[in-house]
Amino acid sequence: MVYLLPKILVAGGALMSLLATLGLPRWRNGAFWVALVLLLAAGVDAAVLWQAEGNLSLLVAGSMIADPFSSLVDLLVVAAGVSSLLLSWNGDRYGPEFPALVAVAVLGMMMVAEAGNLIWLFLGVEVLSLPLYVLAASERTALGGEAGLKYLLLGAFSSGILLFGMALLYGATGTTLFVRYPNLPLGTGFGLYGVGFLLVLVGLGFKVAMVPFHMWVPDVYEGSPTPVTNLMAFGTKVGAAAAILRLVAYGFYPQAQWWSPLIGYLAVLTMIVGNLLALPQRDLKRLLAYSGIGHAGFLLVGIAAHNFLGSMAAVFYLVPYGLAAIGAFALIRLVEGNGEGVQLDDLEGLAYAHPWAAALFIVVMLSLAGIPLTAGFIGKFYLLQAALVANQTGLAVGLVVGTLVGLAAYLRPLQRMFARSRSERVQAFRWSWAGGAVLVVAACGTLFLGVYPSPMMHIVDQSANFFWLR
Amino acid sequence: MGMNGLATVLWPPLFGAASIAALGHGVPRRWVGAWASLMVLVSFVLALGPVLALGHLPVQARAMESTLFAWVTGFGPAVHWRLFLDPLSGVWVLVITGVGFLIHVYSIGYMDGDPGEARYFAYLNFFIFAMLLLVLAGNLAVLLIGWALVGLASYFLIGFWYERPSAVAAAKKAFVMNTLGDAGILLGLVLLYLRYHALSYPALFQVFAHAQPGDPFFDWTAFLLYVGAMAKSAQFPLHMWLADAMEGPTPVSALIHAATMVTAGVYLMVRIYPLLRLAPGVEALVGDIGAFTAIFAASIAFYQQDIKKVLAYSTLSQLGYMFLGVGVGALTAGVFHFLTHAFFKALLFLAAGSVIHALGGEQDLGRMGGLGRKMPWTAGAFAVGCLAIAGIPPFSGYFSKEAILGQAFNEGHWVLWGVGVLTAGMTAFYMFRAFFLTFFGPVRDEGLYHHAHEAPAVMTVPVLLLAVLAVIGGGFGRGLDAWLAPTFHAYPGAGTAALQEGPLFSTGLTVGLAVVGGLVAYVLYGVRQVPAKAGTDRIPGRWMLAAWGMDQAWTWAVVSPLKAVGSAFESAVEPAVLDGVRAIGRTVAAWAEDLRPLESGYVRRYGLSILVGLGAILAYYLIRV
Repeated sequence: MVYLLPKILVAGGALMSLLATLGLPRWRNGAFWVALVLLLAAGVDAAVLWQAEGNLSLLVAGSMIADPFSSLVDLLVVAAGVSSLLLSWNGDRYGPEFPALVAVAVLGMMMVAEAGNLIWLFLGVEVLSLPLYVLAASERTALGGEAGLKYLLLGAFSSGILLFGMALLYGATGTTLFVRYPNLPLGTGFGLYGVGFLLVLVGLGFKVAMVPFHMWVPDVYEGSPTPVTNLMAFGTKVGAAAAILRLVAYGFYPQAQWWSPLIGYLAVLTMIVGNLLALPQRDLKRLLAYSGIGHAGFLLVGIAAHNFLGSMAAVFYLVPYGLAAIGAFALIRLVEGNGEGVQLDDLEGLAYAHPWAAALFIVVMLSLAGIPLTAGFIGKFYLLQAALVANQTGLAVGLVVGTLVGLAAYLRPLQRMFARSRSERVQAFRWSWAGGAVLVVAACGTLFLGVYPSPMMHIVDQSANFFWLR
Repeated sequence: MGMNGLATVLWPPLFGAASIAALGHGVPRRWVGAWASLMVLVSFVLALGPVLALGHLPVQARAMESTLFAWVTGFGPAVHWRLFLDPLSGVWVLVITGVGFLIHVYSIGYMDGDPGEARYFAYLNFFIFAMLLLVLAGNLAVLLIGWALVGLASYFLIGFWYERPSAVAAAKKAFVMNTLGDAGILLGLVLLYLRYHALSYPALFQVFAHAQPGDPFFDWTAFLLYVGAMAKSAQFPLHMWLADAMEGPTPVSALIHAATMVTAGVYLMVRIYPLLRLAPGVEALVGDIGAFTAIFAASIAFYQQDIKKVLAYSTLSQLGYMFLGVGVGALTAGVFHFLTHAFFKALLFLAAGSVIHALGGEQDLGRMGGLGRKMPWTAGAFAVGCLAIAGIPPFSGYFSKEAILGQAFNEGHWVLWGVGVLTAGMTAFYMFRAFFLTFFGPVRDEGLYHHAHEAPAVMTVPVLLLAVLAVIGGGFGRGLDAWLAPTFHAYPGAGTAALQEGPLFSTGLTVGLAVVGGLVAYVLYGVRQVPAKAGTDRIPGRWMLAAWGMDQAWTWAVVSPLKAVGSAFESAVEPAVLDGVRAIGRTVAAWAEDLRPLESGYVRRYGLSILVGLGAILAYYLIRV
């Protein structure tokens, strides 16, 4: 049961953090620290497990899959949780239960990635969603309330679809253990089985922000507090993408020829619409929301390629995207100060007022755009390679077009940063150590992976080692 | 091979550059120079370990490799970040760090009080790092990185005084010309990679060892690599940047544009000797252009009015000798001349720097004179440098130049030999001209003379140490021969690499001409006290002063046509393309605007979107099935 330890630590972090909020007022910070420390401990443990695990093992009668992939995803979502906690530093305004809810959401993200059973998957999706509904509305502003309500309504809707799909799958196969599906004589028809798969895909596509199930993303990202947006943008995306990958890699690989074109079309649509709509945005969080949609498309490219390179590239891409996203949200957190949200115009003159912050922000934005020497370029390069090796020229073209359009979107905030206006709109802000650390780590990691991706490639190579792809 | 300390040699100067760049402004200025010097000294000491360890390795395998990490993976065979040390690179490493250290120390005095002192030392340390990377590279890819980085450091340092338009122009010129060379190396290594899927020296040389000459592939790759060497080592016709590079501070000229960076081309050509064996045409070209550069640059140096220009053209000329040596197969002699040249040319530049420093920045020979009385140490050191470069025995330059010319004669390259001998006489003349104009004769500018003073000890001591090396450096020949032999025995192609004795009459003729040249200079500038400008008003002096009009020739033949093409594109093609691109941009932006209303903010619309999407997916499968 050593494998459960990261989850136990995270769950323990959530509970102890809640307990701490019940205590004396001066223990308020305790809630934050206990969650942070236990999340970090879970991350360390996941790293140790990653090294220790050679092969896949099934726990709880196949409901949980313990393999390097699970551990890697654990690490990534812990990183998302830790960065969100750090960004909430000194943020009493998010409420005392904030750290506990973040830890619960992280637990859910861990669960979806390791699920070998539909029930477990659904449980994970709900465990990750419920705290996020609350967190989205944790600031008592009009936009915050709207964000929470919209997320809740649409989340419930999509959960319904997901659950219906799972019911159909159960009806068609008689089991919820999707790891067993490849052994059943099911064919590739369009029966209950196929429809069930499509409904589950739509449910998870909602979480990963796949077009056309993406509409909630900009409103929710904009209205949520920045640390929460950070968790949604990085953590939810990692969890949902990992769940899709796991589902198709373990449950539905014999039908790859059947589902891969669909995912391919959706990937192209997602990349183009996401990046295109990022162009006219004036709010930095909305821009990043559309960027997150576009990047969901990039991730899907790797899944649609349904080869080993593709799954490797998709898993790899989670890292550059995550680093760049948390870097960008850290900058938003620094700039917004006690306010809420950052308009592009608010960035005017940032490059002169805070050259270091601007430089780090440039790094992460260029990584989102996929400029060489940043991790984003390497990630896109591997995805492109995967698409070409899979002979999916359309995917490759879509990826390139999406990147082209996205570039313009990402350069606009940078351009505003260098604009000199008579009324300097950027407020001189104080660096908080936590936000600064997140920004520095994100930018340095982005550069490091951009120059020297081999170690990460090695890790991914070991983790995305899905047997059917070899 | 794992950790054998090769990488540790690289880090101190890089760390020095980074730390000075980050913190150099907050500390007392003196510390910065001392810190930078210390970093180079540490690097020198760290380099001694592996270099000495090299001597204990068996002769057949006298090389160390250290792979830092796999760098480029995923496109076929991996390219590793690999370092490599053998006797040949060991010579360069020690010269770079050793002479580099002396020049760093000298710079503490020379740059004292300059507002950009911290920046200067950060650049200088960065240069040492880049140069070490170049010579320690274990494959052509890493070499190219070092190659480009030294070019960058050179660009920074030539343009160090960026308020001067001339310095900025010179830096730009050096960078552009060097980029031509970088492109040559890049193309060459790509060709090699495409054919052999390898870039590391041992792997490539193993292949070359079993190949036979005659394949044009070898001629092309060797030529492309030679283009890189040509640009970096300022061989004709890519030589003009070096004279302009004198805009940088004088220690920079000593370190980068005399002792180390400009010899990178020599290093590369010696390094790829197994390839030169397969490309005899290119090998001959290396020697021919080297000889021509030697005499051509010497002729230009005759009438230069600026003391640093004289030294710059003498550097060109001496580089020509080194290439001549490589071209006739006298590889050890070429390296030997690099070694002695590093000593005496650094010495000459630093001594000249002391003069310039004493005169408050004045470089015009026409305004110097009589300084020997005020600066006896510097004058003595400069005299030693002149004797060494002129090839007067027993100074160091005599031995190395003799080795090159003697071997050129032995191998039957009589024309090259003749050019080299003649150049030796010319060298003595123009160097002693500069010496007598500076230190002897009447005082030509009372004001400058009045304020002149001997340099402080921090500058004089490195100069004197270099002077000692310039005197005794010739004694290193035998040792160098034995030291480099394992490198040249490793692969075929260096059969004549070892030092040879030339015929006695060749030595007599060379030294005799040098003495005559020196005496003529003495009579003209020491006894008759002809002004510096004499002879520049008529042909050929006017042409020689103008460097034979090569700048104009380049402008006419290359720069102007390219500019014309550029303007034509700018006026004819670019507007159309730009309009097209703008139209695309507008269209895309318009689409984006059209899509925006979909995001209406109504939850019911969002839910509808999910349903419509789901319906479309199901319809897709219904139609398809």
